[in-house]
Amino acid sequence: MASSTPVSAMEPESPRGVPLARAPASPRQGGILNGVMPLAVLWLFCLFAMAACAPWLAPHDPTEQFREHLLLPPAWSGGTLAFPFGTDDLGRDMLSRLLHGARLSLMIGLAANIAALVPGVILGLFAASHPRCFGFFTMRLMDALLALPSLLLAVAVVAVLGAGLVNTILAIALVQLPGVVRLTRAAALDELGRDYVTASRMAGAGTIRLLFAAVLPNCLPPLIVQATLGFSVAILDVAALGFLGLGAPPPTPEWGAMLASARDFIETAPWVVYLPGMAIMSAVLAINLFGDGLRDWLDPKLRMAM
Amino acid sequence: MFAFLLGRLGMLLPTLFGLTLLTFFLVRLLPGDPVSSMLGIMAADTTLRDALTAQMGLDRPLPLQYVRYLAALSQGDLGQSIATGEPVLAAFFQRFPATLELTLAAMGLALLAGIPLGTLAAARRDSLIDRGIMALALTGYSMPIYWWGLLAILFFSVGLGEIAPAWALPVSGRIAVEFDPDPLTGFMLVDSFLSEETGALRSALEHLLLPSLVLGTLPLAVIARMTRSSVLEIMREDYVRAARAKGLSPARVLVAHVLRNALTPIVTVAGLLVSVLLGGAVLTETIFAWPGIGRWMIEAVWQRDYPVLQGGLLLIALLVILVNFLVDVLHGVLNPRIRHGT
Repeated sequence: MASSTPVSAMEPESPRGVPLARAPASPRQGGILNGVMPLAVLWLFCLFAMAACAPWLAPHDPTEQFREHLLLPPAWSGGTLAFPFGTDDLGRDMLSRLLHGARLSLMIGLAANIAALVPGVILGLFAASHPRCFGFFTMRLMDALLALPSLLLAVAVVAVLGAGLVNTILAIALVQLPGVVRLTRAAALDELGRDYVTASRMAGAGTIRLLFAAVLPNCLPPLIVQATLGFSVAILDVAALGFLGLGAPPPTPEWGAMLASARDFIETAPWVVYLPGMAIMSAVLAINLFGDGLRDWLDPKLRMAM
Repeated sequence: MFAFLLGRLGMLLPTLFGLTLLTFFLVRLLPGDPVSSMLGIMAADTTLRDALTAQMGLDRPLPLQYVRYLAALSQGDLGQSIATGEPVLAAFFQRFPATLELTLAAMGLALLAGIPLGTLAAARRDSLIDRGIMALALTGYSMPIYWWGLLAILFFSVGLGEIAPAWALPVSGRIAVEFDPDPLTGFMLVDSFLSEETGALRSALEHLLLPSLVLGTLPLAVIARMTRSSVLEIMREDYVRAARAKGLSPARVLVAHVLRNALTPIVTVAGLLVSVLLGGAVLTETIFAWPGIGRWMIEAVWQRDYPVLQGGLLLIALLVILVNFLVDVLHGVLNPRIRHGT
């Protein structure tokens, strides 16, 4: 889990199932951030709205080059209102690119998340119910995947498959897969020993029904938190691949790719560095805040500890 | 203890096996045939194509290829780089010290700053200090490392607008070009110190500062958060109350009783962070032109140098597995309950 979700997931679980200190031990840790939680939710909502309406909100086409307006500064520092956030080195409107970039980042992030969750949950459930052969083999393979730093694995997958949108999604999904499998398996193992599962089995439920109708709903809270935080990691990884030039091909308005080309203008046009980075960070920060809040709220053990 | 060690080692074997399968099939099974992508437009030449396929053993059945791969691995043969012809293993170890130096510096920074900050936040729980530190930590781990690197260059080297930076730090390479210390150890700090040139060590330090700050930020944030929650957890224990009841000063209780016991989960997290650091090193090395493993791998990707990619991945994963194993063992040493519980 370490590699795909650096913060969230490594806290509660110890490597060999030995109980560690649970992460947010302070009952009121959420209190520190509660004040900004509504802001985070609001910003997330705005981001999704902007992403959905990007074609109508954006003043220009994100790939249209205005050759007479290269590296125009933003409106507040001497630019014109026609290009409120300025232009990049090819004269493309920054605001339009950022808006379309939001669309791309959120979409890839969500798609990668789902592409990791669905097989991850299924593998995790079966690994828990068939621990001997299937579970053992699956988990060792997941261990091996986990040993590879997430970004390097993603880079390697993209290197072999070739750069592109779909391959980015596949690479990030593969990177996140072991985290989901481990978490699902751990939660499912916990549940499988409980009386209601035995009762359900005695009532004649088959494995599939037992796993998906009885066990899975009870494993959902940690999975929801994991999915949220996995979403933010996915956005970071998408942009990292874009930054390395392994994401969507140019001229796609992708936040990370925008940063990569911004490097050369760091002295002359700092806004091409500030703006895409700010977009990535604000999205990730908002999702992380939301995920933290969600964890405090969904974890009944913590709520009782209060 | 011996049985514990043996048991842990035994658990590694299937993982290692899985790892070799993974690196083997990553290059072979995924769409995109290595030979044609290596040859580029020359792939049309079928004789050349067949020759290269045969040379790489790609014309044999897959299981046989895998066995040959394992046999070569067991002799430390990871193949040769297509781009330079160097053996992958030697090339790896030539670049590895640079990455190790960077990650050690970043980890050192993260531990040295993260543990005190987390402890302070826990000791002053719910105060303004606590909120400030936790807000910073949250920002730190939401920070895209590639953006943070560019910002660091902007703040510490380029300057903001008219304002020149107070201390212009170098942002590329490991040492200024006028110095060329003999690579005795591969660690620039040690080599520059040994070279006894005036200014060499200082230059090496200055070059290391920004990259390690950028790479160390995420682990710092994680360690600060982890320390805070771990310390808070331990502070609720009865023996802490007992220590306080017998009249020890709060500071002494915090350091001698709380912090010592709070360190165990921090060790685990620090071990897990090694993988995160090695991943982050790819980006940091790219931004700061740091001649380490990360940049080497990215170059291999661009040159479609599959042996380097395959070998590099395997070696890095081995390193991560080794570190996690050591952390596991350390855990067993620190905590007898783990040693005997399994």
